[in-house]
Amino acid sequence: MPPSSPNLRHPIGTTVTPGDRLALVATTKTMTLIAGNGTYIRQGHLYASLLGTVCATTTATATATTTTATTAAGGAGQEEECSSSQENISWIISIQPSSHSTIVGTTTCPRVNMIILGRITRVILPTHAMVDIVAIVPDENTTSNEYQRDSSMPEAPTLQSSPSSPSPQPKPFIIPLIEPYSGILRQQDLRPKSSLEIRIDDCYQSGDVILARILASGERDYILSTAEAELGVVQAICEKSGYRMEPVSWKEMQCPISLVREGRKVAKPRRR
Amino acid sequence: MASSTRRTDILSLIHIRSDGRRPHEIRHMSCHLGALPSTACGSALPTSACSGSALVSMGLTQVLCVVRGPCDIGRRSDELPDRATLDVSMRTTPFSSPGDRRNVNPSTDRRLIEQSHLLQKVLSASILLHLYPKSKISVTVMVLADDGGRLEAAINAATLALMDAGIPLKDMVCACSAGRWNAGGSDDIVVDLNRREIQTATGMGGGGGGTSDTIYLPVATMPQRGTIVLSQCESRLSGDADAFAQVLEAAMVGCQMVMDVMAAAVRERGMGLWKAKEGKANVMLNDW
Repeated sequence: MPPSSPNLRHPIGTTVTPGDRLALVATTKTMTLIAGNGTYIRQGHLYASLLGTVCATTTATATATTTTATTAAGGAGQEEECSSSQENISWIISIQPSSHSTIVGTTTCPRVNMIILGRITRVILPTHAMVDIVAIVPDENTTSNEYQRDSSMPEAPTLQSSPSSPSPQPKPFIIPLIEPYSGILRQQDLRPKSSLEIRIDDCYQSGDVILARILASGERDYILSTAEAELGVVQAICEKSGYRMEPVSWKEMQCPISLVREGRKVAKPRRR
Repeated sequence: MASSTRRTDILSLIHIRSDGRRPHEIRHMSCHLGALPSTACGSALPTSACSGSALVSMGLTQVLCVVRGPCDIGRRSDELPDRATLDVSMRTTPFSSPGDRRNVNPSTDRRLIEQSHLLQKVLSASILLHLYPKSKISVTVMVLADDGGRLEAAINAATLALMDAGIPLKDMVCACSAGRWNAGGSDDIVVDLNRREIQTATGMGGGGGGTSDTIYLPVATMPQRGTIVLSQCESRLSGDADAFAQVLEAAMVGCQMVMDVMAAAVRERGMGLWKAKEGKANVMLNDW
């Protein structure tokens, strides 16, 4: 039986502007409201901060089995999870922005612990490489922890995004950034077993497209790391022939035309 | 014999202003969100386009605002570790002011620089800057036609452009001006002054300062919260604090009216875009 929807001043599915008051944030016996993406709390009330439509998703704290039902009310698709128990249900109220610029994802910012897609611009022997951060790659591990993430990406035509939903999610798209941010990859962060004897040009060359994780926001650039099996080179071009190389092992890639092998730290293919 | 009664004096007897408005009416206002192509539209190069834009006209004053961001800061000395840097600049075009006033250089005009700073303060009060550490949001306002009230129009346009760019705001900021002068012996409090009325109120058009009873007050508020974000009075108040309170009150009512116009325009567009995403309507992202 579907849980009762939270009673909001602007009902779910209507368009709101920044500053519209949505609800009182007080934990009652049956319902807890949590501020999701696009909202903020001030003096005990929940307000909208984006121009968009109101969405609500539940994180069912009950351990009973959940089923997913899609209801379409007034043109806004919402996803509610039905739980068969009457325990305290938390509702995450979020705003789905209707601004077209969020289709491209221009309002996200790289943060620590995100996986990013970048391109090596310079390799400074032997200590580090400069990377241009081009896009953010949403990772299953990171989305469940953050409410501030831009969870409004169009992941599938009709489904709403629900960060902590246990039902299977379609893979989120990559979020490109408007302008590349700059990052730095240091010698001690190249491989899982960090060692200062690894030469950086055995792992990366200028022009490679890599997946890396942001370790810290350093003084000048973001400090990146590829010290995981699934991070590393995604695409590399052979110096001699100019063709795209194929991976041979975790540390070598081979050009199919000239059969030349070059050393790279290759990213393990992600499971679909 | 010289006729000393001017048209405005006669009109003010029946409480109609020089452009035919009642004292409490604001000028006809139109807002257009997404006036310029943004990064979302197909082949537009990311480096040349903007994140959001808005074209606002209040009466004959027309202002275009372009927002870009959040993006990486080039110079590390400018970046803040816990919030975004807000970079605001206001420019006038040579054809914006009536008459032959081309001797005003937009980059060194003090009035413009002051208004850019005020705009930056107003927007910093509203944007949730802490969500984008070490990034830059840049807001550029271009005054296309100036018939008085360009700061107010700029604030309104900046709010709409930020909403168009999807940058989270605490609340919409709306701005309106109000004033008071002695005309024909009666005190009138008027809302949303145009250029001619500002000149009468501040006496800038010719001859020294305004008479001691005139007040001109641009005000920016967050109407849904009732917070005043900006209020700038450069007139001399001749020991009459009540007059100031009345004018402020009138300005806040004016801001509420401006907010209604902006909210209506914005909700319509928001609903249209939402329906387009759902596949229920065809909306041209930019109708230019």
